[in-house]
Amino acid sequence: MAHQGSVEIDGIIKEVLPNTLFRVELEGGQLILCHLSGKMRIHFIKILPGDRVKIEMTPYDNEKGRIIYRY
Amino acid sequence: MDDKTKKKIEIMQRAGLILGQVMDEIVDYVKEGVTELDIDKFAERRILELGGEPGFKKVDGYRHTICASTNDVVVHGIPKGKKLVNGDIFGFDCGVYLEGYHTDMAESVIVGGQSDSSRKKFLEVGKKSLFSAISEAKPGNRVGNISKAMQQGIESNGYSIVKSLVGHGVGKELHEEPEIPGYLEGKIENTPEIRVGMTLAIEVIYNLGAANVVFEGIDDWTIVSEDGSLSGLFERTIYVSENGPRLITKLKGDPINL
Repeated sequence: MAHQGSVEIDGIIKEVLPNTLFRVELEGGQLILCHLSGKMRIHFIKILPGDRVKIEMTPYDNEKGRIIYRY
Repeated sequence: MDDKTKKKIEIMQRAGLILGQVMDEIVDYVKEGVTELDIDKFAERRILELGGEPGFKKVDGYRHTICASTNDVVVHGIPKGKKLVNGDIFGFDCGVYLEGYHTDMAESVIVGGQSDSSRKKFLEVGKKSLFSAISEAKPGNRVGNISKAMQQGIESNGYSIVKSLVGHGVGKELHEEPEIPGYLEGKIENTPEIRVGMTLAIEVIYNLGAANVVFEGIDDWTIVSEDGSLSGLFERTIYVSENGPRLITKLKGDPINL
């Protein structure tokens, strides 16, 4: 069965939540809940409100995302 | 390869034998007057008789054994009671689950076998592109090599790769990492590595016309080409051995060196 590919989209950090979760505002205005990717954790990349980030989202859940890059 | 991986491959090969056999039987079963639902029920009966389980029934919300994608339906077509007509391009996707592992396979055929040469070419190109993509799945290569080969095979003949649907790893889950798109985006070095022991469902999903696809809108599953053009689909599950890709799911006529 074919799989719907995940998409990358840019957003801005609105809120830093406990357990390395973040509220992110996407380009279209939606607010979604994101977690940090493993690679960013390992490299101790700090994320603060106002940072511009790249999010990876699965088409199967459009309220969650994964932060994969900080600009 | 460690023992756990060898065990996984051994189980998946047995599942793949069941799936390949059922798919071969479906190819013979498909003819004018048969409905997609008939084929779905046939596939389910045969899988169970051969000792496997219909893998797609484990997908949340999906209640059939096959996906039936006729003509402009790209993927995930829910089998319907409409009769097939000679000349239809019938794409069918099926999975067999056995002892904890999934396998996934798809093929497209022309109903009745006879049709104008443009439809025959459309399918021949797709199948050839799939196998040239599969041959890139060797240790040391990356997913990008597979994607690039598939894209070249399809686009060099004027057809379009559907970008929003991808092949995927397969194993305990039907859809696992990595995603295997049919086109290369960015640099090959930035795509995941292919390692010995990986089990992948490599699929080519392509349209005669433009690449855009949309939900048909009648159910939550069926995806059709936006411009109504014909769509083709071919898929095999493989594992990566030290010497390169090996087919876990095989249809009569597939290359024997894989």
